[in-house]
Parts: sequence; C-alpha cells; structure tokens
Amino acid sequence: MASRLGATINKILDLCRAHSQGLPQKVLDEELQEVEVEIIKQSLNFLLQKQKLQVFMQGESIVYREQDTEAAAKFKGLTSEDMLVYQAIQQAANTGIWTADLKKRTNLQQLQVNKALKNLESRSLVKPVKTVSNKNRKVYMLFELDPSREVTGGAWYTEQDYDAEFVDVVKQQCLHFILKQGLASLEDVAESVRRSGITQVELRLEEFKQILDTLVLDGDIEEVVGGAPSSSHAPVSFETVCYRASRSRIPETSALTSVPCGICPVLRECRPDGLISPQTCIYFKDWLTF
Amino acid sequence: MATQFGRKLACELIFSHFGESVQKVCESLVYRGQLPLPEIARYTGMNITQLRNCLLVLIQHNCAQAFKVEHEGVGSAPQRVSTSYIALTDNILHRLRFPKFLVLVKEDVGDQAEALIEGLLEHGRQTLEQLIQRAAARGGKAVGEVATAVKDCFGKLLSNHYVERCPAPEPSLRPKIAVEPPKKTPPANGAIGEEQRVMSAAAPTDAERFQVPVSLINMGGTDMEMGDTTPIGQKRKREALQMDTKTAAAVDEKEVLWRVNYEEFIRRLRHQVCVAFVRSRVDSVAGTVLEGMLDATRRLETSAKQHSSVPVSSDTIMNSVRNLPLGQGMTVERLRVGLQQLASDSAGYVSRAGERAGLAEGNQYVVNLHKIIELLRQIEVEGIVLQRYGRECCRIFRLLALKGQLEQKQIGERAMVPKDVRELLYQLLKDHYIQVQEIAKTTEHVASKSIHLWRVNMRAVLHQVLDDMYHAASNLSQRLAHELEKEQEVNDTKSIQEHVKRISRITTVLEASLLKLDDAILLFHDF
Ligand code: SF4
Repeated sequence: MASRLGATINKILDLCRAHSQGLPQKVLDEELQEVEVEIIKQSLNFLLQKQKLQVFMQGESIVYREQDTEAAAKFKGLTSEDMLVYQAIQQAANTGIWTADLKKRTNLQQLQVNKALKNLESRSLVKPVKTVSNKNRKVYMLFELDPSREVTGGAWYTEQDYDAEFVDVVKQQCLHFILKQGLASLEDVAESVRRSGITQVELRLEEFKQILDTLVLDGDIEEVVGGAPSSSHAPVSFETVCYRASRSRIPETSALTSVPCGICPVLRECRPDGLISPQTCIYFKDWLTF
Repeated sequence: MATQFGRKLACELIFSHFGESVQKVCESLVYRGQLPLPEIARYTGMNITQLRNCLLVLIQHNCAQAFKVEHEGVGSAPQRVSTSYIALTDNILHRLRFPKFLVLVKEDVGDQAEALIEGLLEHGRQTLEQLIQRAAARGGKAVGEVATAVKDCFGKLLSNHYVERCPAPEPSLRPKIAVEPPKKTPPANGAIGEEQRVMSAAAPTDAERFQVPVSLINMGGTDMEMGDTTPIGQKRKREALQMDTKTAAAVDEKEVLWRVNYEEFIRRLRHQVCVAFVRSRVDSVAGTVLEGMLDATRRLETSAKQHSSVPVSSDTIMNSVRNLPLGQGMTVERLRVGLQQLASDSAGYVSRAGERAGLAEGNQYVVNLHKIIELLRQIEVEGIVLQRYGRECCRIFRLLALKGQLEQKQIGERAMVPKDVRELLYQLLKDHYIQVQEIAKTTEHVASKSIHLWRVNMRAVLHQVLDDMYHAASNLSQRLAHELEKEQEVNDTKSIQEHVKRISRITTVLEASLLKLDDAILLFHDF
C-alpha cells in the first residue's frame, strides 16, 4: 500500500511536469484509470499538504500544477484561507487589491481576510501600498512587485507624494539644454537629461513631453515644426517637432500690475466712499512713501 | 462700449476739467443714454440756462452731441421733432491721452503743429481765424505776420487728417426701426451702440471732413496736391460754390469750425504699437516693412479699428519704405525677405491679398492689424495673470485658453500641479479669469457625480481686465486729486521745500502711471 501510494505520487508529479500549462482533472483520471480512487485521493492530499501541488479552477474543470520547491518552502505552513487570499492578491498584479474587494473575491469573512493578510505580510509575501488616488486606502500586492503608475502616480511621485522639487530640477535641466542647444527635439532633451545623471528615476519620453509641454505653457520655450537637425540622431524630418527659446515670453511687468490696484486683493470691493477707498488706501500710502 | 468703470472715469475727467455742474450733466447722459433737455433738468435739478451752458461746454469739447429725433404721430397727435443729447464717452476718455497726441504730432509734423493741436485740444472747436489769432497772441506778433505760416502748417495737419471739420450740429435721427447709418459703414463687429449711431449720423463724409478751406486752396506753395487729396465729391462742391472766392475764403476762415480728429491719432498710435511689436518680435527690417505698408495705406482706412489694411503692391511698399528714416537703404531683396518673413510667421502679421479670394492679384499684401492687436492683448492679459496669481495659475490659464474645456484632473496633470489644482482654479474663478460649467449626470445634480468643465472665455476676460484698468485709472486720478487737496491743508513744521518736493514726486509717479495704464486701455478698448 505504501509503495503504491509512493508510485502514484510520483506518477502525478510526472504528469504535472508533462503538462506544464496545468494538469486537468480529466487527464489525471484517464492516466490513473487502474489506480484506486482512494489511493489517488490520498496522494493528492499528501501533495497538497506538503505544498508540492497547486489546485486551480480553469473554467469548469480542476487543474493541478506542481509547486516548485522554493515556492513550496515559501508557502509552508500557510492555511488554505491564507492561500486563497494570496492568490487573489496575485491576480491583482501591480495594481493591487483593496481589502473590501479581497473579501468579495475570496468569500471569506473580514476577520479571516485580516488574519490571512497578517500572516502573509509577516512572511513578506505581500505588502500594503498607499495609492495616490486615495491616500487613506491601502491596496495589497505581491511583495516582489513594483506598484503600477496608477498606484504610485508615476515618476513624479516619491512615496506617493508629488515631488514638485524633483519636477523642477528636471524642468530646469531640460530648459537649460534647449537654450544651450538652440533647437532640440524631444529625444535630444531626454537623452541629455539621462546622461546628465541628475536623477536615478527612470523617465520615459512621455514624461519628458509632459515637462516640455509645461515649459511651452510657461512661455519659456516654443514648438517649431521641422528645423535643422540638431544632433547626431536620426535626421530631423519635416514633421519633427523641435523646441527653442520662446520669442514671446510672458511679460514680467504690466501697466496694470505696476500700480497697487492692479495686484490689489480688494480691488473689486474698493469704492470712493467705501470702507476701502483710494483716498484711505494703505497700499497707495506705502507706494507713495519715498 | 466703455465698461462700468470706464463711464465712471469719464465723469471724473469731466469733473476735473470742467467742474461740478458740467459733470452732473455729463453723468446724467453717460448713465442714462440719450436725453432731451427737460429730462436732464429733472435729473440734475438745474435751471435751463445753467444747463444750456453746461451742454455747450460739452459740445464745444466734443464730449456730447445734439441730435433731432422724429417721433411718429400717435393717433391724432401730429408727428413732432425734439432735440436730444448724448454723451460721447469715448471722446471724453480721449482727454486722458492729450499728452500722447501732442508728442505724436510734434514728432511727425513739428513744433508749430504741436502748438496748433494744443490750442485746438484746449478749446475743443475753433475757426481758422481763431487759430491764427491764438498763434499770433502767443508769439507776440501781428496776425498778418503769422497767418501764412499757420495756414501752411494747418494745411499739413489737414492733409494728414489730424484735424477735421466739425460734424453737423444737430443731425436728424430717424426712428430706430430703420437703422441705417447713413454714411459710414458700420464696424465689422456688428452691433452698433447708440453713441455710434448718432456719431455716424452727424459725421460728414470723408470728403467733407477733410475738405480744404478756400483760403488755403489759393495759397501757393503748400504741399497740398489737389490732384490726390481732392475726392470727386469735393470738386463738385467747389464747382457749386457760386461765391466769389474771396468772400468764400473769408466765410470759410471765420465760420468753419475745426477740431482735432481723434480717430487719426488713435489710428497712428495703433499703427505705432503694431510696428513696435513686430520690430521686437521679428526684427528691425520686418518692422520697417510693416511701417511702410501702414504708411502707404493709412489714408484708405475706413475705421480706427480697421480689420486689415487695404491691399498694397510690393512696389508701393518699396516706395513707402524708402521714405522712412530706417528704410532708406532698403533693397528689393531685403524687402522681399522681410515680406516673406511677415507672411510666413505663424502669427499671421501679413498675408497675400489674393490668397483668400483665390485671385492671382500679383504681389499684393495686407497687414492683419486685428491679429496683431489680439495677440498683444492676449500677451498683456497673460502678463497680468502671471503678476497677480503666479506662474502656476498663468500656466493653467494658458492651458485652458489653448485647449478649450478641461476637467480638474486633466488640468492638474497637464499643468503639472496635481496637488494644488483645485485651489489655483478657484483663485482664477473668483476673479472671473476662468469659468466652470457643471454637466450633471444625475437629475438631482449630485456634485460628486457631475463633470466640471473649466474654460477661459477670452471675450469676458478682456472685458473684465479693461474694467479693472479703468477702475485702477480712476483710483489713480482720485488719489492724485486727494493728495493735492491734502497738501493744501497741511500746515506743519516741515519746510515748504520738503512739501513741494514730496508732492511733485507723487504727482510725477501718479501721472506717469496713469499714462502707462492708458496705453493698455487704448490697446484693450480703442485699437
Ligand atoms: S485704491 Fe487701494 S484698496 Fe483700492 S483697489 Fe487700489 S490698491 Fe486696492
């Protein structure tokens, strides 16, 4: 009996290895036709207990897969509830999953979910991550994953907080390069910033475009279509958008804002005989004190 | 139309120039629109004699206009005609810029011209005879000694349209239904205000406005070429003149009233601003080319707010440019490059005349004046937003002006202000620089389920900014009046010298600021 059990266990493991995509119950049944059902049952239980085997539902049918040894060690001693929670978290990938959704997905009680999370967390299998969209809401994801951009907010966020200072540093670097270069494409700018080594954060072209767009909005630079090739990169075609110093900067002064009323917070409340009036105004008084 | 604070400023100007009673009359007209005499009397509580005097002052200074209104007979009542008065707010506000007018004419025509214009501005309307007398009195000379020089100078001013004949004293205005401004074409922007309606009814045709007085026609040696300045209508008129020339000259000199043609001054200031902008934005050559184009077409403009200049050939531009101090060395090649630059710039300063119509017009070009003005206004507004609210707000403002409507989240991302976007938006909203529209997804307008779209309504912003400018200008001039008044009262230990020094500094600062602010008002209202 013991030897037959051993043989069956081995046979099941072999079958699993032969079906790396997962061993369907149906195939297992066919292959082990002459083995008694009781023995098969015992073998499967043994394997599951030892964390050598994983069970999945694939559509309507049950599917088995061998657990590699390393993983087996990782999950040793976890209850089946823990595993259920783990698998739900795994499925959520790098977007993470919120506890309320975990409860729904696993059909467990809140308490059970919490307990499982505690176990998994203490074994560094999953981790909680704050999201930018909702600071008070934690999501869980596998420990080894990097949270997605929706969760972190992208490259401009440090610890889920918008890092205005970092943005500014990159922005200044981009501007500096364009002014020095005279005319530069998006790729040129990205390349120069990456080489400058001002940051370890991996910035994509998308993010550089975002920076350049704000520089355009600030009136520091402007877009030009076409233009001469500016670097050793691929020749600039006619449609290539390049950037150069803006010819129309936003004025630093204006006639209106050069007088106190132009920047006055109470302009709209100011009346000749009102509480605030040009005759009694303190802003004027300061302005006209030499 | 002047804004709310524009009207207030106009009344304050009248007060400081003509005193309290004239201001009262002016106020009733400015705020209530056209009024007949009895109504003005009712609002101001003045007696008729006093009232007439005030109205005369306003009319003399081109700040008000009388006109006849025909009333249709109702029932058995016969048709009747009454006289009403209307304030010319724009003209009143031009009083702010008299110093600018003087500088302009001095630079263009010379000192004597400046003196003549100064006299006219001071008195509102004068005959040629009065102008000559004034010049004589000021120079301490006999009338005979200065007459020729004054006439000569006056001729120059007239041929450059700096002065014009006064409009009809009391034009008739037909009942409102058949509004058709009899002479001038209405401005392109459509709706014409009451003020403009009356003004155009009163305005003589261009030929009449600048018709040369008889006493000048017979003067030899003026630079008036009758050939090019005399439109056909005028010739006919002249032929119709059956009077003996001498009598006619005398009548002309004594009776025809002249006044400063504000429109021409505004037009030239507008052109100057456009040229200066192109000079700084593109380069000096382009600026000179533009100046040449505007010089060549100025006389053909039909409105001070001319949309685009009339088409002009590159040959004509060349001639005109060569007459400019900066254009003397211009070559055909440089002109071509300059024109090309102006036409190809994305700002669209200049376009080829035939382009739109699809005609092969040859090398005809127009200056897109309105585009330059719009661009200048936009830049000015952006500067104001930047000064008032800082870089982030300015970025948001430009983003919305560029992209139309956006939601808060999109704005935060694109302007890279994800955290403070809400606060920044509300700052701009509070002062009406941006608007927000709620698009409810639920019938109950549940706020959290609605979409909020933010946008810039440029027209509204320009109007608001202009009103703020008038407001600020009004405050400046009130403060100036207040300071001067206060100065008279003080009686302390400080030395007189110190007082004089202080008040003259205050006056300088306030007056200079007012003139600068008026540049911006001109840009937003008159250009
Ligand atoms: S007068 Fe003084 S209080 Fe009034 S708007 Fe100007 S600065 Fe503000």
